[in-house]
Amino acid sequence: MGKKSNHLNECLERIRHGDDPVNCLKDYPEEADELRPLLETAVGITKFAMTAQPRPEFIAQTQGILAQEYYLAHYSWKAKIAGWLKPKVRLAKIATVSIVILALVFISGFSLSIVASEDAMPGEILYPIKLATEQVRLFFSFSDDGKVGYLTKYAETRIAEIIYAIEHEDDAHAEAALKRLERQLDTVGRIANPSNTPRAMAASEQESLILQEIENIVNESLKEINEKLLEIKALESEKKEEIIDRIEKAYAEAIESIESARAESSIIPYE
Amino acid sequence: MGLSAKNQTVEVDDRVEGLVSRAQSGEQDAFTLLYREYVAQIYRYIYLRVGQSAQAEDLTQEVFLRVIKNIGNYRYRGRPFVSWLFRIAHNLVIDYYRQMKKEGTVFFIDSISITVDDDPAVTVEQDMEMLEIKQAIDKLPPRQREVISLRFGSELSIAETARAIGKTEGTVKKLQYEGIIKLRKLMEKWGRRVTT
Repeated sequence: MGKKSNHLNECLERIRHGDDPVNCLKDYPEEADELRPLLETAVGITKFAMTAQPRPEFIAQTQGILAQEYYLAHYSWKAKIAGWLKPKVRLAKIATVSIVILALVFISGFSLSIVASEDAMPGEILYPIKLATEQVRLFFSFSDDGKVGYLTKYAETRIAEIIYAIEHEDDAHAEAALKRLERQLDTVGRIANPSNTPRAMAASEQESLILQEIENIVNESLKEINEKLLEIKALESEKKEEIIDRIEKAYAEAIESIESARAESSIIPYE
Repeated sequence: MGLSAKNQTVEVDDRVEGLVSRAQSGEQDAFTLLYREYVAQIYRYIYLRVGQSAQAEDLTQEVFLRVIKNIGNYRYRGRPFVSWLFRIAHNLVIDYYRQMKKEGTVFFIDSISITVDDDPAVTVEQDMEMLEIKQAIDKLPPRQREVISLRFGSELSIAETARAIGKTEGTVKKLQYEGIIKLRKLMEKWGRRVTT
């Protein structure tokens, strides 16, 4: 059909530009019998269509209406204000869309970075994002046991990082991770027993329960790290004993602070 | 299409785009020239689609009112003004049919009367023939009818028709071919042979 429809169209174009249909049919003798009636029909339709003309009164009347509308659209004070505002509105739209797109890209990119950074290890590009994310989560945790939960989880993560650093013979990063772990467990101790002074709330039943919960969390974490400590023990490193000692000491000090706070809570009378 | 015909089309396009540009910047005379250039073509296209002269006039007027409203948004971008204009007409016709369907309106087809011969017998014969062509066009499927209306009513080129209805040139040629065959068959069924 493609070939025939092309030939028919070619003949129609030639007729439109003044050629005789017979000339075109001569160029396609094998299709002439089929094309001839179609061309006749097409010419008949054109002739018919040309009889449909808009009335001169309609043309003139509409021209008047359009002239009025055109004037209103281009020269009325509303049109002038609209014309003045249009480019500004367009710019504002472009700016808004751009900002939204940038924000989405930033947010999605940032979210992806956070997800990707969770497995980052010391020395890797995304590692600082991992540490920053930890700080943000800690900041938005408003309960003491919630904070301790995060801190012990981070302490476990630090041990994994220490193992990774030792395996890569990177003592500097191992030491940095160890120091972070010590600080985090120290914070656990301070949450349980701030400045080793009796707290106003220490005697309350609720506070006792929270201290109990904190102690449970740290003990659970201690169980979790035992396997990791064995892993460290198996590593070939001169410092492995020192590292294990420091980790155990950090946990022991945290537990001591918690126990101390619990002991204080039991001797201060309930108000 | 021959080279000279192509050159003519390019010249017309350039002239029209010049008028559009002037109309966009507030020259009312340029807009009037555009209106005079296309009013008959738009009217014929709509008339062949809706079949009633009163409706065709109303819709033709509405097309140009929409042009005034939107001409500031028109940009050439490889799509000539004529395609943009007929796209507006096409959308209006679709809206019209949608509205009619919603209202359950019955369509009445205007009978047209033409006088091309002094002999009354020939005139009657031609009137009947034209009326039958019109009735046959009304029986075409919408897409074929649209292409036939644009090609033979408004004398748009294949490329302009393709751009106006958002189809490829190959599809337009196919619809044109199928439409003409169907018209021919209908005319033959009614015992008519179109005279040229």
